[in-house]
Amino acid sequence: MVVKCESRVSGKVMVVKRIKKMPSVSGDASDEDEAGADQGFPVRYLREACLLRACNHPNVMKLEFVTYHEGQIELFSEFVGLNVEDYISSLSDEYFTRNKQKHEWVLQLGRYFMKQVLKGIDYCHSIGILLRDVKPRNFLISSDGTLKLTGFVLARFSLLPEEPLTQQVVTLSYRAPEIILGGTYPVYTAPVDIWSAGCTFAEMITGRTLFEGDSEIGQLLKIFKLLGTPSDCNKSFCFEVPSYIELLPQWQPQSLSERLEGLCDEGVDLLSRMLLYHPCSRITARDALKHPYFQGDHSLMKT
Amino acid sequence: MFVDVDCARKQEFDSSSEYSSPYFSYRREIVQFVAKVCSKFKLKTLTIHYAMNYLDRFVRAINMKSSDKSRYFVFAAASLMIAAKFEERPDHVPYVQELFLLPELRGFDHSEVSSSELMILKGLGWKLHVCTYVHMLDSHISTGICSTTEEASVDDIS
Repeated sequence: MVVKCESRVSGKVMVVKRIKKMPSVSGDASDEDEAGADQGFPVRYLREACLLRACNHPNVMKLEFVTYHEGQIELFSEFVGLNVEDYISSLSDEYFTRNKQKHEWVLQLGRYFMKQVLKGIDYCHSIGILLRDVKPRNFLISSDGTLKLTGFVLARFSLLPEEPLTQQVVTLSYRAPEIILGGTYPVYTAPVDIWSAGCTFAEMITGRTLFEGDSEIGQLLKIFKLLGTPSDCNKSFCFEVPSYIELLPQWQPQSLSERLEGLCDEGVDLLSRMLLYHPCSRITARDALKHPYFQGDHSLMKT
Repeated sequence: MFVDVDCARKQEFDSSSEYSSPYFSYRREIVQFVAKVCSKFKLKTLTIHYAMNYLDRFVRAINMKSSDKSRYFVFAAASLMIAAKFEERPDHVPYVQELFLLPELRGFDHSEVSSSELMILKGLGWKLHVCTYVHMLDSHISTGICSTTEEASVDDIS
């Protein structure tokens, strides 16, 4: 349950996420995921609270404090505002039609937001946090136009380089191919967040989800249809891929600039670097911020 | 990833100031206990280091001076639970009931761990992302690889 509240002490508006912990009953594992059953403090909220608490950056949502009493956990965080997904769907089609003045505004806004998205991700990566759930819904827009990263339920602290991790991460539409193809315990690290950020970028420009698959294989097909079926899979992904992949149709890469109408060449170049198959050749958040797309003054003009 | 290991290292408490607690005479046994539990539940080495880091910092933070050895074991078990939840796959995290079958924790109630967990989390200010010796080792190993390719001179490493 999430409620908005105002502090009587400081007058600060905050958002409270309240999680009820079920009474600990041994042998009853049905609610384990939600309540942590008899594992004590629930795993996912422990990670969310600790990792959010570890962050101190203007582009990451601030967790003010955590309370825990009588089996009820409350996470108090700053109130930000609408998330990007809802914001995009609140805009009319005109904003995403080429050669309209409103489209120009969306392109500007996309660049303005993207810079903040990458700053938030770069910060988290620099302190060793893998987000594993980057998507428009997890970016909140504050009233002054600052973007704040949230959604740390799936995040994890990972200072050691590549280790096998769980596959059940990242909303399917934003999931990087190395997670989909990697089997039960795929090896992945920071580049998965960049892939998701790339999908988020495209969504902010076009107003539509870039790859919208209904299953893992469907997702893979959508990706290959746009970016081309990799000709030499082992080389493209740097790990052993399941054999079924060779049975997939051989698509040629499509032009990203056609898909993202109106986006300047630098923007298309940045996106293509964020959506590279090989995780190691994918651009890092830090390098992305140095990309020509972000050079110069891009403050927002009111329309 | 651009993790600044040296910076993470500095955040650890400094061990120079005078501080004495019965804890230090029990510490060896506690480490063995934590390591034993970790191998029993097939947890990672890193989890042991996290757990000990949390316990060390917690004992220091609340200035714990109790000489009741079993209390330290309960806090060690709670630290281990926190470390496992933070680092391991959720289905690898041991159950509280299983932990209390261990001889060191005999006579304690299950609810002790949950309340100890919360005390530790509060004592640590919810700060669980720390750099342990395992991380340092990894950083040193990768530096070693770098030097063999002659990209870094000996001066760079020191």
